[in-house]
Amino acid sequence: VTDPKTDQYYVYAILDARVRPPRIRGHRLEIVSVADFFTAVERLTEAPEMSETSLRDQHQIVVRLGRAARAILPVRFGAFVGALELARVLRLRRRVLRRALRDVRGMVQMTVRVFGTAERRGGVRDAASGTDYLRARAESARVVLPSVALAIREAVRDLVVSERVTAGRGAVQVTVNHLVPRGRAARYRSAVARAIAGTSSPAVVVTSGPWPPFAFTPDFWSAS
Amino acid sequence: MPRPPARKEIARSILQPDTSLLDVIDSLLNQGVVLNADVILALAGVDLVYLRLSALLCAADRVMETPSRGRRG
Repeated sequence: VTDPKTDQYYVYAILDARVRPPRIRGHRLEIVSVADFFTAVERLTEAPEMSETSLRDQHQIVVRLGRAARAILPVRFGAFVGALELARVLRLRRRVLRRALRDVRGMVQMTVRVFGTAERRGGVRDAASGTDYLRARAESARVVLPSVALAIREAVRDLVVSERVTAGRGAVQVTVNHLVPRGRAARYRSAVARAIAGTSSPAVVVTSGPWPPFAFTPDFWSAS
Repeated sequence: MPRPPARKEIARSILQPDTSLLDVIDSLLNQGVVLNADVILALAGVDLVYLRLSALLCAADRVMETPSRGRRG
């Protein structure tokens, strides 16, 4: 029995088609049709507490869903919403979601992390105007790709559909996420390995994937 | 005595065979669709500030809707 006024969902992912929900011990997953989308949810009375176990569980669930679905948009940890609110948010962002699902259809994410000390651009010097100051600030905040990442980018150019680069934190210098067609993960890994072998950088590079397209989900809060 | 040639440093490549905690944290806490924005605040540790940004977003969208498009529930 469902009641949209009182049902609370813990949402794992948004899908473009119904799939068989994966069986994961301790979880009762459902695929629910909401506002022209399919959502992978669990009916809970409260959001799961953040812990390594709950994070790993959610990651496993989304990865399994990603293998089953042609197009998936993973949802960030902690998305505990009422059924009505979920429907409202999805309806309001229908266009953005449709476009994002189309973009990731048949794709997987490969992740490359370069460990080391990040190269930093110079700080903001005296600016003649506010505009100059903001430009300088933007420039100083821009991620600088290390040479090994540039070599990898070049090596995988023909395999990659889209790229997201984020500045690293701690020991991670930079993280590069690539969207690649399913079935090309092995070629991608080989290309990365070749590129790394050909550089003179002492960096440590960790490649992982294929993953669902975590880094290629739309930003609701700035999207129009 | 001549110095030995410097050993060429090369990048080390690691192919991760399994899911690392870094992947899990990066994927689930830094990426993915944000459905309820109070999650962001909770994750940031700002537990005294509770803004229902999703409600705000909905309200803003309704206000900005043009009359000709009408309202949808």
